[in-house]
Amino acid sequence: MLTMKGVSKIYRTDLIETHALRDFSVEIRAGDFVAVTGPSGSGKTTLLNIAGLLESFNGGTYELDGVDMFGLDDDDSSKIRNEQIGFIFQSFNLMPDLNLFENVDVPLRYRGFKAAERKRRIEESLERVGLSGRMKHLPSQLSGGQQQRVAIARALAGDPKLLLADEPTGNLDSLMARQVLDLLDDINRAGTTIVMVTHDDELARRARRNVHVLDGKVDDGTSYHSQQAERPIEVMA
Amino acid sequence: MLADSNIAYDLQLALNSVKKTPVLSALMVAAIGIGIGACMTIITIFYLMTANPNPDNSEEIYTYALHNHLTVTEGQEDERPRLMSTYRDALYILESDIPTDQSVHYQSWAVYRNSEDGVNPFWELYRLVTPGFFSLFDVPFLYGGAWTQEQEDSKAMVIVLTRETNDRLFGGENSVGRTIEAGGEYYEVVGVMDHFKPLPKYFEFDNGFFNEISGALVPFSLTPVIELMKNSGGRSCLEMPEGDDFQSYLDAECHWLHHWVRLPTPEKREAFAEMLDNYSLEQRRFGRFQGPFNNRLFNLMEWLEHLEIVDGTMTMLIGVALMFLIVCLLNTNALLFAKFTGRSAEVGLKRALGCSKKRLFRQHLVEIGLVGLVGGALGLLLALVGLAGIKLLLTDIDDLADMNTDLVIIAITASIISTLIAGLYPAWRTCQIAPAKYLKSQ
Amino acid sequence: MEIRPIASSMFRNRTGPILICLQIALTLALVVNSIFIIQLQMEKISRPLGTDVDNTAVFNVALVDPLEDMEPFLKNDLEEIRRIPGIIDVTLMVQPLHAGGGMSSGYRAVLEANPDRVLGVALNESDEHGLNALGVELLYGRNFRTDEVRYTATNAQVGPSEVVLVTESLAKNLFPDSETADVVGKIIYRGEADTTPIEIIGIMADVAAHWVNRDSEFARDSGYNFILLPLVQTFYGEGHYYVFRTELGAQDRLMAAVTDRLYEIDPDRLFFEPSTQAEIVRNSQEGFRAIATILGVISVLMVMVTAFGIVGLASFTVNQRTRQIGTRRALGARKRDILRYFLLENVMLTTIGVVLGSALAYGIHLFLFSIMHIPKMSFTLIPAGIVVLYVLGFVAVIGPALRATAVAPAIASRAV
Repeated sequence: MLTMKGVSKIYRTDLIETHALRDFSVEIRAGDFVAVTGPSGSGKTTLLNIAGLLESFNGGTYELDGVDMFGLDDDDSSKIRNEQIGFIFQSFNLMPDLNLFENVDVPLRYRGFKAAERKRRIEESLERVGLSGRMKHLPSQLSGGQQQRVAIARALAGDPKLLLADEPTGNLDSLMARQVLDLLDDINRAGTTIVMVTHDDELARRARRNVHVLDGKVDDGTSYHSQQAERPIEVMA
Repeated sequence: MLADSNIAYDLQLALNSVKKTPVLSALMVAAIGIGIGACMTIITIFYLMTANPNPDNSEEIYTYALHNHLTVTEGQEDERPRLMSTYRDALYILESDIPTDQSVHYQSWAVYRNSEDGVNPFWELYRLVTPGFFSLFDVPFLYGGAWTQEQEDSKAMVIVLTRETNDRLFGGENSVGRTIEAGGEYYEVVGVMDHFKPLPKYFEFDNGFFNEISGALVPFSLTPVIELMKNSGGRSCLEMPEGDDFQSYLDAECHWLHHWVRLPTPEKREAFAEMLDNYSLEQRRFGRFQGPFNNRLFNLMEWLEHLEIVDGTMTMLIGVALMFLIVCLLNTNALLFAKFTGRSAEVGLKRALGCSKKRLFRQHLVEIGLVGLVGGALGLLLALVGLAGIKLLLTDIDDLADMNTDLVIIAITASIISTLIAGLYPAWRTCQIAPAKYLKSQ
Repeated sequence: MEIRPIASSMFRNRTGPILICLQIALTLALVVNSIFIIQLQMEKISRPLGTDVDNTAVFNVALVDPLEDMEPFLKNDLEEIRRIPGIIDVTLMVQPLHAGGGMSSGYRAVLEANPDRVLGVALNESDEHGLNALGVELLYGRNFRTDEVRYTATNAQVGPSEVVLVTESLAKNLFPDSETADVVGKIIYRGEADTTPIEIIGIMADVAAHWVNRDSEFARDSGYNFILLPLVQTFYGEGHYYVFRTELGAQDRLMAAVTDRLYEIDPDRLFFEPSTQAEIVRNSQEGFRAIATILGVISVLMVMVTAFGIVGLASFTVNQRTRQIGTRRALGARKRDILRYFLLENVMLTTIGVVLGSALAYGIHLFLFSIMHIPKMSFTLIPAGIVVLYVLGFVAVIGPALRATAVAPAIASRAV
């Protein structure tokens, strides 16, 4: 459902030109659980940002669900982010001044759902991540793992087709990480496509497919650098 | 930071912090400065309006007000007594030996001439006073002194010049012994006053409160001799004088004299009040002092209050200025709050490295105090601007609108204290931050 | 409209919002009351005075050596001045008008001694040229005749007079049941008990008493109780007040001409504060202008300080919440959703502030009503002030709010 062909992203300042992505191509099918790995600076976060329409791209094509994502105006990309994509961030990004209910509510309000509909979805979402008993609590009253689960609830409340996760377990201890991963597994099995960026190889192994990024390109093991990389993951197509 | 910290170090930290957030700090100082400036402008005027103009004597000198009415009506019980005295009543009271000293006086105008030295004649104020005037009101002398009671009693043609009139007539020299012409009569100069400008001019309330004492003064006993009517200030007559001549005027039921007495002890005060009441009772036989007794006795500060120099308008202005200051402090409070919240990470780090809450709190207070100090200094400057503006608006209060050291100290102290109060809560809250909280990522 | 979440969020972080609310409340309360008092001062200044203020000049002149009989000398002075082309008329008065203070007396319309029926009346004295020199119209009856004008050498406060001119308002106040024209010829008496009959020979257009712009009820009821007596005080007092009216535009030139002529007649004169009526009026109104200016300046400063406070806090909030803003955008907020959030937050804060401020404004008004003699405030001031504060809040917050919309969604995925 997500197809990128020859996508490039260039950051230009007055002095420097940085190629974050060069000629990047990838195809992700509906229902995939893909781990995107690579060393820091390789461009994997940029990839996620572009996939999630958080950033624009300079060249190539990107089709989401068959629709061309190039040159979308701000309103349109916001709409697609809101309705079709769910985000999970490394630093959770919950609103500290809102309780759990209100946090999950945020994207639903932008969706335009009526109050009753929102309430239903929020309660279902929080139930799914096992936190419905703490709806009135503030994020500061929760552990890291619980906060991430709320973030997941928020991402799912709108029934997105695509879930994009950026280092979802980066700030969690191993026990909590495992819980979150279990949750992601369940979600994927229920049909949601997940693309997860991580630099943790163990986590990458739990995904059903890996895409390794190096220097802004997909690494298929043939570049010089990839031969120097620590443990190249086999690309399974 | 872990070493013994002292104020100097705290100050240095404060200065560093200010440098790091220049815009925020500038806004804070500006807000405080404007608030203190507005307050100090108005409070300076209020302070000088209500300051005791004669502290050495204010406890002992009194003026009286007789409740003299010729007719009575229902509901007139609380009508105010007369603030000035009639000639007849003043003379009677002048005879009394209860007060240790008395000043009876009134104002008029006269032409002054020093033809010997070829000075152009000019009009100026002209006062007839008993010699008690000079001691009751603590009048300073440059040359010579007041005339004696003997001279007063013998109606001597002597005169005391004010400093600026002496400047005009004699170029400022010591003119004691010289003769000048005033109001068509010749007088010998016995004294020249130094600058004398009590604020407010309490002993003569019907001629402006904040102006100079100008012109010259001659013995009150000369009143029937030179026949000069009161021509400056007010009078209220209950009845028309019977004839056209000056003596009829003196006998008439007209209130135009100012009368102050010195009553140094409570016994004397009681005796004097009693004497006034007895006199009123006696005068009732002549159809005067009708109605209930309401003779009043005022000491200096009571008199000022009675005159309502500080009226509702002044109170309103003070209230407005104070509320403005509160708004400015709230503003500063918000800015301080923003500033300290923005430094949560730094605070967390310091706490993690062992800085105690108390020490951190003290550092914050020093920083806030610094803002208050600079804000207060700015406020003083703005107050000077404000006072200059007021002088433009109100042309007769020049000397009221001058700052003095007391007020400077008040301004700076008030500024620092109020800023500290405003900043107390944000400063304290920030110290409560758990050390590790802001070290981790959100 | 995300009012609930905004309210929850503000409440949980309430220090900043509370401070801004209080500032808004105080600002509204103070500015409304200040504007009210400023309006009062301006109203007082604009009360009509009744004489031709702009074209009248007042000279306070005295002879260095007064004569035994000043009457012929003064009459000659007046004749000479009248001859100067451009001078409409000149008279002598005992005190200038509209100076903030003056003579007053009581008059009653009934013979029996009755203090309740005595009206407070502002008083002045002039000759038969008085009305013309002041530019006051005679409405009914007649002016003084030359032989009715008394020249008196003593400075009795009020000489007895058999005929007087009164203003229209005074006529109505003295004889409320009569037609104004019928008051001509009626008899009044001075003070509480005096029985000397005084005839009203003419009624002039309203001239302001010297208390006309005080705040009291008495000023409002009796502000135009004015009486003119046919009297000229020749006494050697603080000089004489020559009041003369000039043709339009010629005042400066003619003031110099009059000065020259008076010196020509007798060089041994002393001129005191030569002045115009307009200047006298301005001086007497100094206090009102001062109050208005001071309150105006403070109001402007206060509005500025509050505006800066809103800008400051809003900017700070936007900075602090950059991450949150980015996250919201990532979650699908459009730029205008972000703008609306901040504008709505500001509107909510302002609303609480103006509700508090209105109550405070009214309370302050009641307090001022008790310490100053002011009338009640009109009900349009508070709503007007509220509108101003909403506009102010909008103008202050729009900058930071627009900056918030520029926050990139990609911020959300940046590492902390």
